[in-house]
Amino acid sequence: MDQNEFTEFYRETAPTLRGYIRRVSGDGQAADDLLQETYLRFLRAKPAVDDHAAMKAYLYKTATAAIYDRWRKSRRERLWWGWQAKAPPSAPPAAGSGDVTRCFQKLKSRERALLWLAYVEGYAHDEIAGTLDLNEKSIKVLLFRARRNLERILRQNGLSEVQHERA
Amino acid sequence: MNEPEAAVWMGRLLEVSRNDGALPDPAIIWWKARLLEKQAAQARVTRPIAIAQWVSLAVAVVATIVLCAANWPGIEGMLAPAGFTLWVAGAACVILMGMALRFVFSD
Repeated sequence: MDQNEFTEFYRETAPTLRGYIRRVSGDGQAADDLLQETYLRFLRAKPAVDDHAAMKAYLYKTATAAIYDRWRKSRRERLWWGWQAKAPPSAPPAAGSGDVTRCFQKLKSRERALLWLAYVEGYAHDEIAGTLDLNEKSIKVLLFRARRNLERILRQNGLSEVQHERA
Repeated sequence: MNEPEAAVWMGRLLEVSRNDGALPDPAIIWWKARLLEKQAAQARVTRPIAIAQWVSLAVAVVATIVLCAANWPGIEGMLAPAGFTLWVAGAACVILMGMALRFVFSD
C-alpha cells in the first residue's frame, strides 16, 4: 500500500472508526490518539489482504485491541468486558448530541461495540465475532441483550418509542 | 427493541459522530509509521552488536573476579600496609569504572 492508497483508505474509514473508538472506549480525549495508534499498527502489520472489506475488518479488530491495551495500561478501576455499566465521566457528548450519546455511554463497553459493529458498520455475526474475539454463536444473544438494555436506557431517559417513531 | 429500531438509533449516533471535529492528518500518520519502521530495522541490525558488548562486559567482570580470588593472598599482602585510604581509593576506582562502562554501553 503506497501513501495515496493509504490516504484514500484513511478518508473512507477514519470518520466511522473514530466514532467507534470514541463511543466504545468512552474516552473522547484519547480517541484521536487511539485512532492514530490503530492506523500505525495497521501500517506496520501490513496485513496480507487485498479486499477492502477485509482490510476494514482488520482495522476494527486492531482498534478494539488498541482500546483494550489502553485500558490495561491505565489505572482506572473499570473492567473491559465488564460487569459495570457506569460509563467514565471523561467522554463529554458533542454539541447538540446530548441525549443519544449520553444514553449510549450508559451501556457496557462490549454492548457499545456490538451495536456499533452490527448497526453502523453492518457486520455479520461472524465478522463481529472475529473483531471482538467472541464465539459466533453467542453474538445473536449478546446483540439481543444489548438492544434490550439500550431500549431500557432510552425509556429511562424519556426517549420513548413514541418519540422514536416521530424521529 | 427490534433490529430496524436499533439501526435507526445507531444511525442518529453516527450522525452525531460526524461532528466530532477534524480528523488527524493521514500524512503525519504515514510518516510516523515509516519512521517507526526505520527505527525497528535499525534496532534489528544493531542488536548483535549490543549483545556482543554485554557478553564481553560479563566475561571481563567474571575474569576479574576469578583472577582476584585466585591471587587474593598476594593482593591482600600488597594492600595491607597501605591502610584505609588506599582501600577507599580502590573502591572509588571500581565504582567510577562501573559508571564509565554503563555510560559506554548505554544507548
